Order: sequence, then C-alpha cells, then structure tokens
Amino acid sequence: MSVITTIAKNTFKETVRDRIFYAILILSVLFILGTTLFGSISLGQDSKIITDFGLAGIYLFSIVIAIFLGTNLIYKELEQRTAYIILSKAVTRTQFLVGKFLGLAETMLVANLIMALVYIPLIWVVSHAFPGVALLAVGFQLLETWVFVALTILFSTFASPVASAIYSIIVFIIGHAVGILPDAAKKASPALASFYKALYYVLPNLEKFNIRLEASHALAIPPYLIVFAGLYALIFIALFLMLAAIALTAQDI
Amino acid sequence: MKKHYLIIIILLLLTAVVLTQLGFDKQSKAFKASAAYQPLVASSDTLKKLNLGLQAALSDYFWLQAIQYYGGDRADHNYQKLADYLDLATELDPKFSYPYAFAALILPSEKIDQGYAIARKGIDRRIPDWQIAYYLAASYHIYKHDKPEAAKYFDLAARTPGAPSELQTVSAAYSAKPNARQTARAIWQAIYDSSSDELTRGRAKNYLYFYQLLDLFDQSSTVYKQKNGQWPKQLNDLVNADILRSVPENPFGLSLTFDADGRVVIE
Repeated sequence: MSVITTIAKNTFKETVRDRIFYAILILSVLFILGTTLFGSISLGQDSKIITDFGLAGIYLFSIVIAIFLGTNLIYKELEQRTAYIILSKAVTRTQFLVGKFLGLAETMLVANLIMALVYIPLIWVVSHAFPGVALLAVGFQLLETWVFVALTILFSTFASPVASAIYSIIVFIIGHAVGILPDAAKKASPALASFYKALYYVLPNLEKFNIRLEASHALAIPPYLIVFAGLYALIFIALFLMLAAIALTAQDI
Repeated sequence: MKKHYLIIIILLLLTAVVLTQLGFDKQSKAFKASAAYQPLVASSDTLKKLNLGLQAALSDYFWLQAIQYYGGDRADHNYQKLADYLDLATELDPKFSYPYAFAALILPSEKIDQGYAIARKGIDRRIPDWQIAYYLAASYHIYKHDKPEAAKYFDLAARTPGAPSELQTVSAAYSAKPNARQTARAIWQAIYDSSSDELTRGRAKNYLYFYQLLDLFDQSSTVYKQKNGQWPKQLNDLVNADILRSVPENPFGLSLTFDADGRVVIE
C-alpha cells in the first residue's frame, strides 16, 4: 500500500505543479463568476442560468484538465524511461497504475473543490437556498471525471498525448450518446438490434453521472442513483486500469 | 526595428482592432434588424440525442438566444424563429417553465398559434407554474377574443399552487364583466404587478397606456358631441375642435378612428 501511496503523492505533486492545471483552473473560476452576466440578461431566470452554466463549466473544465494531465501521465514516464526504473524495482504494474490514478484523481478532487467553493456560494446568494442537488451534481461529475482519468491513463500507455486526447474525446461523445442505441435497435433487423443492444450494455454510459437537469430544478435524487453511479464508476475505473496493465505487459514494460 | 516604432505599430494595430469591432457591430446590428436576417435554429430531435449531457445549459442557451432575438431591433417585427427557440428551450429542459408562459404572451399575433402549442405543452406536462395558464388565458382573451378558452385557462391558473391571490379575483370576475376593455386592463394590470421580467412588464405597461389613451379619446369624443352636436370622424377632429392639443402616439403605432357611435376603434 505504501508504494501506491508514494506514487500517488508524487503524481499529485507533479500534476498540481503543472502550469496548464493552474491556467485551466483560473479560466474555470472566471467562467463560473462570468455566469452572473448571462443570468443578468435572462429575464429573471438568473438562478437557473447560473446553476446550469456553472455546472456545465465545472464539468467541461474538469474533462479538459483530465485530458491534458491524464494523456501525458504514463506517456511521459515511458518517453523519459522513468517508468522502466520504477517498474524494475519492487513495484508491480498495477501498483504503478493505481498510484498514478489515485494521484491524478486527488488533483481532480482538489480542482472540483476549488470550483465548487466559488460555484456553490454564488448560487446560494442568488437563489437564497442552499443548492444541495447542485453540490451532489458536482459529486456525480467528479465520478465521471475519475472514470475519464482512468480512461486517459489507459490510452496514454500505448498512444501519444494527441492521439490519446482524440480517443478520449471520441469516448466522451459516444458515452453521452449511447442512449440512442436502444431506439436504433427498435428500427433495426434482429441481428443488428442484438448488436446495438450489446453495445449499449458494454460501452460506458456517461449519462449515469448526469443529474444536471435535476440540479437545475432542485429535484430529489433517489438513493439508488447514487449507489449505481458510484458502483458503475468503480467498475469502469478498475476495468480501464486492468486494461492499462495488460497494455504495459504487452509492450514488455 | 527600434523599440518605440514597435510600440507605435502595436498601438496602431490595437486601434485597428477596436475600429474593426465597432464597424462589425454596426453592420451586424443593421443586418439583424433587416428582414433578410433569420437565424438558423437546430432541430430539437438532434440536440436531444447529441448534447453531451448538457441539456440544461443548452436549454438556457436557446432561452437567451430567444430573448436576444426578440429584444433585437428588427424593423419588420417578424420574429419567425422565436417559436423555434422557445420550443428548443422547452424540449431540452421540459421543466423550464418560463419559456412556456413567455411563448403564450409574447409571440406575435400571426404566430400566436405556435405560442399556444408551446404553452399547452407546458400545461400537458403539468409544469406547476400558474403563469403558463394565466398568460395563455390573457392571450386568448386579447388576441382571439375566445372567452370560453380564456375562462378555462384563467380558472386553471387560479387553481395552480402558488398563484397570487389577485388571480382568484380576475378569474372569478372574468365571466361577470361586460366591458372587454375593462377586463383586458385588469388582466394586463395583474401581469404587470406579478411579472418580474422587463420584456413582459414592458408589454403590459404599453397595453395599460394604450387603454388609457382609448379612454381619453372616448371621453374627448363625448365632449366633441356636446360641442358640435355630432360624433367626431377622426382623431384630428378632436385637435381641430381644441379638445386635445395634439393626438398622442399610441405605443403600437395603430391607426385609430371613431365608429358611428363615437367610440374609438382600430382602423
């Protein structure tokens, strides 16, 4: 465990020192504050506009941070051959990858906390009510970001940062569009319908982490949704990290 | 190149940037006010499927677009795409209540059926906002003169939780009041008092002023009849008879005249 903790600590230190991290974080905070401008031209709908645009901002900026930092994480270690030194010692590939993941996940947690510290009081002031569901939505988004971190780590074990970023964006788009597959299956031939259904169940359905509409109207979130979203994130994180370990083994690293 | 030359060039380029932006804004404003401009609005079916999980933010975006479009200075007041924007906002976020109400009241009379369809969609979806039914009722009364439909929606608005108490009075008195102008005035007064958005309040204010003008012309017409023994034929007759100093402009630019009984009517 101490090996994983050491790698995680070093990864956290390394990623929070990255200038890109600060630049994106500053931009995100400015964007969240800027949502008040949109609110002011919304004919009295400012609380909703700030809630929705703020959540969207936190979400998109988190994904951008995850892509920028995650796609470089393993690739840089392989390029500079530091991964070979670490793995030649008594560190397994799994420990190395889990440590890397936990370090970057911690960075994402800090980034989301900073953004939430600006966002939540802002809605609280505008709507005169504590935005509990919006805070929960930030938590759901963080789960999705962690899945994304694991995914970028997987890609960075075998692809360049640019290619990893492109693959990640493709998965991001597909992950939010898998909901169309059951509809497509209804109109397709039986064989194709089965294929669509199989894809629907296998592909990561990122909509499981989306409670932004509920946050917009402060609707109650059933507890099963929180349990399933957490479980779903955990399964995909484990799956992506295992695939990343296999990818490293396949390359004799 | 010397340093001060570089600074001068940078300053000149910055000035050029500002001038270009000013020129662009001027041209853009003129184009958007012209009849040729109609924005391209995406299909709600596509955006409902491919929105990267950002339905709420996209719905808000199209709501802001609707406001900007309606609040623009179109010379022809032909807001063809307004219904599309409002439909998109309510399709992407079906619980976003205000666009339903806004559609019922703000869409121009030739597009009002589209506005009714959007507002009724909100009622069918059981959105708990009294403004949707109230604005729909007001619109049926004012634009369609459809008393049964207006009464139905006034009643629905009054029964919606959270409706202000004045609404109960408007709804109860609706069928009892014989004077259409008096009823319309009460409706717009309630809208003015209860709405927090400046576009709707502005529209209500214009109507309230318009009814004041109509009252003034009717009263002046009676004075004219007492002085001249006959009803005036046009508004200028009141000025010629020294009853009014000038004919005040009405906020909708409508041509007004008098009927055979000396009551002011829209030409």
